[in-house]
Amino acid sequence: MEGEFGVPTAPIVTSRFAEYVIRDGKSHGMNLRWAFPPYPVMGVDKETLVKYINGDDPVTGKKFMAEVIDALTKPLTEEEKNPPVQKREKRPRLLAPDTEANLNRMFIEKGWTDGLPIVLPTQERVAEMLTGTDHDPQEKVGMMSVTTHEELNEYTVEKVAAIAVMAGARPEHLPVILAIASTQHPSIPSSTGSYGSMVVVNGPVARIIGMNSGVGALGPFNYANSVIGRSWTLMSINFGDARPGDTFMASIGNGLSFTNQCCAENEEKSPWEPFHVQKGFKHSESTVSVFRGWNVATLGMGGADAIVQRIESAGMMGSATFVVDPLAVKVLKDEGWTDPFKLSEYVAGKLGNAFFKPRPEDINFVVVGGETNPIWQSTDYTYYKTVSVDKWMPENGIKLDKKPIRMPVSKQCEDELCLIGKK
Amino acid sequence: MRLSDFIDRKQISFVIAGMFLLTSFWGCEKGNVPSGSAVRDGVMLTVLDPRGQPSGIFGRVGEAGAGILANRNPDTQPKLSMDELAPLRMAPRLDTLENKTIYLVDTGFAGSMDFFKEMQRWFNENMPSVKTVTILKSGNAFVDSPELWPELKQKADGVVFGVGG
Repeated sequence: MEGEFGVPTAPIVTSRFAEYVIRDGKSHGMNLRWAFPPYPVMGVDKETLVKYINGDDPVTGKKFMAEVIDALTKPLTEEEKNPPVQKREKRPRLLAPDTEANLNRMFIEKGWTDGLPIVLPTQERVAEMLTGTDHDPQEKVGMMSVTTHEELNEYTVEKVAAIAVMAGARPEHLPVILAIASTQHPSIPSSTGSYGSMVVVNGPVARIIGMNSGVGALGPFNYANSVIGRSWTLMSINFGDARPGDTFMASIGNGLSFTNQCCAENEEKSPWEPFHVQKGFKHSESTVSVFRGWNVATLGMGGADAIVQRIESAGMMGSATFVVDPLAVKVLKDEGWTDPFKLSEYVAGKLGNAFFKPRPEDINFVVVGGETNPIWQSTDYTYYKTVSVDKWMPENGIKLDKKPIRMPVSKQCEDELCLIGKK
Repeated sequence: MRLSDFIDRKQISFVIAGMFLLTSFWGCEKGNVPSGSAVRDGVMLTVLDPRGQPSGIFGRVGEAGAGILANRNPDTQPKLSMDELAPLRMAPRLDTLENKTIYLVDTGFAGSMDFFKEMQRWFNENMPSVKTVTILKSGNAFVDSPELWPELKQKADGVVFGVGG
């Protein structure tokens, strides 16, 4: 409105977002004349809104409406006529040397961690991590921001390796972590609604690096699942520049964000085509698929109509991803759903209202679990994309340690013990 | 001369007890150092900076008609390079609001229209010559509304835009 159409404009944002919009505006060369009422505006009664309008801007201490009027009428200053674009400095590759205790403290105090202990990314450790791929350490992998408008941050293979070290990963995990990085999706985008994310690994790599797709796959019982999922959050914090209350505005936060529901799909026990094959990849390819939403809603059982009912009752916002135990898939298969996309078409066809009609692609199913019961978890997650892990693998295959670290593994259910699906 | 000829068993016991005590005191002192740091205390480490580098690329408002999640998706979010970023030329300001038409544009965040209705009431009571018009921006709060801007240029002397939050 200001520049192209020449109409003086007074933008209003609640005071909770004042620093955010001022900084964001300056980085874009915009000296807008903001006015900030108290917050929140949503969900408050009329009397409160009247107080906001008649009261002071809590950021400046001036009368709120006087600011609105000034924004439209006060002559422009010289700086407003020629606003500078503020450029950020490039960061050094290495930090100043210090003791282990001081560096650990600094990483925590600067907000570069998830609050849990990390492994410091020394040059030696990062060099070892880089043996997990053949790619040039300085190759650019992507750009990321947890915000929608601020400057994106670039990251290289070496930066991703440093994050992998911090998360406690080994070189065998690096190709999967690089694949996640290549999606450029932060796992924790800034939204007052507190996003959660999920990453599902398919293909041979999952077995090679010992990922869990069975009993407790989404719980804290597998080394690879944990460090890969944690890496995604540490990347989002450091590459996406997530700073709570500054760039990251999730009002409540999401406990799933620590390791982001990271697991492999249980291809061995699933009677359906693996998820990545459904998305156009070959069985022999290894991939990661990323999902994001807000809620892991509820546990459920049953066939297609139970799934429809669950989506309706949970009030999901247009997308749904069901994490389905292989036994529950067998229930669905017994019902005639041999192709999960046909099931998606059926479910999507049953849903919708005047404002919103989901597409079959918006309803997804991933098969995860240890066949202890025919259950599924409903989520409102949107499926975003599937990318190759193979691209990041060394030519000689995954770089395994001489004795790879593996946590205890539960036995998979033997078929003769699981009568569902034996028709 | 053999050691046993020189030191009897009692003396050896004193020596062992003394060594034990010294070791215990040394352990107590080290116990004050935070866990995981004692071994490397004083050793200087060089670590990599884990932060991303500024790219000169910015996200921008979504295309008109894009879904609410479109600018949350790196594959569909429109972008703008720093080279394309021209400092914003602000519009000349009005001399006064008296007898002017001001559009109060609801961006689509919850509660904004209620807020603007109260602001409209404020103008009616305090600056009755100002004509205010409330309007809901098309699309969601994160996308462009290209049909709205020419309309505002034609009809509005000034715009109040909000309420973000």
